[in-house]
Amino acid sequence: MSFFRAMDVSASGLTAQRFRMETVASNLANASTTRTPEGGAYRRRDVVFEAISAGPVRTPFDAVLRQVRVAAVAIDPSPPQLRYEPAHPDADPQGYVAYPNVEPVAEMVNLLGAARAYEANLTVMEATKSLMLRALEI
Amino acid sequence: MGLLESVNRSIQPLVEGLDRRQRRHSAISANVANADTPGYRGVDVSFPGALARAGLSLAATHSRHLGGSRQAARDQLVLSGGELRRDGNDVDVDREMVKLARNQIEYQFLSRSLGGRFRKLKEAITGRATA
Repeated sequence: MSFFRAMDVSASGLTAQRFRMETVASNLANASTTRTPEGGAYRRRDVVFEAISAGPVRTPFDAVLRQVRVAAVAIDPSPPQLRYEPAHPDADPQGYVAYPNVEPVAEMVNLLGAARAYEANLTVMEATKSLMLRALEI
Repeated sequence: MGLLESVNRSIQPLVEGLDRRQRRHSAISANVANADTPGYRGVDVSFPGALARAGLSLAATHSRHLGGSRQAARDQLVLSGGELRRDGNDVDVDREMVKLARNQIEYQFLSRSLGGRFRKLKEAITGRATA
C-alpha cells in the first residue's frame, strides 16, 4: 500500500471534520430561527461518521484499513425550547414560541473538537508528503 | 558470495524496514481520520521482535498472502488496543501523533542509510568519491 492511499485516508478525515464544522456553523447561525421551510423552529443537526474501506483491496493489509465518511446528517429529536412571548408572530395560541434546541456552548465544544481533529489530519498529511519526498532522495 | 548477493543482503533489511514504516504510517493515518468514528478500533502494524519479546508468536500465514519475504509475511495489522470511550472508539490522537513523529524519524533514518549503501556501491564501481 503506497503513501497515496494514506493521503486519501487523511483527505477523508479532513472532509469529514470540515463537514462537522459546517454543521456546527449551521446550528449556531440558526440558534434563534423560529421559521423553516419544513415548518416549525430550526432543529439542531449533527453528523454521523462511519468507517469505510480505504479503496481496492489488494493485500490483507488493505482489507483492514479504513477511511471515514459522513454517513448521515442526523436531526436532533430533542424538543424545542419554549419561551413565553405572546407578541411574537410565531407564538402559538398559548403565547409560547418554539426556539431551536441548540445549546451554543455545546456547539462551541463540538467546534473545538472538530478543529483539533482537522489539524491532526493535516499534520498526518504533511508527514505523508515529507516521507514521500524523502523516499525520492534515496 | 557474489557482489550482487552481498549487496542485496545488506539492503534487504533496510527495504523491509521502510516497507514496515510505510504500513505503520498508513495505519496511523487511518486511526487519525477515524478518531471520532463511533465503534472504530485503532490499528497498528505488529513488529515481530516486539511480539517475540512478549512471548507471543503469530499464527502461520499463507506464504503468498503478502507477496513478499517471509519477514514481511509475519507483519500483521493488529488492534492497538487503547482505552475504550463511550462511543466505542479507542483512538488516542495524542498517542498517534507521537507514533507519527517517531515513525517519521525511523523512516528517514532508514532511507538515508539505504541511500548511503547505494552511494558506496557507486563509489566502488566508479572508483570516484560521490557527494
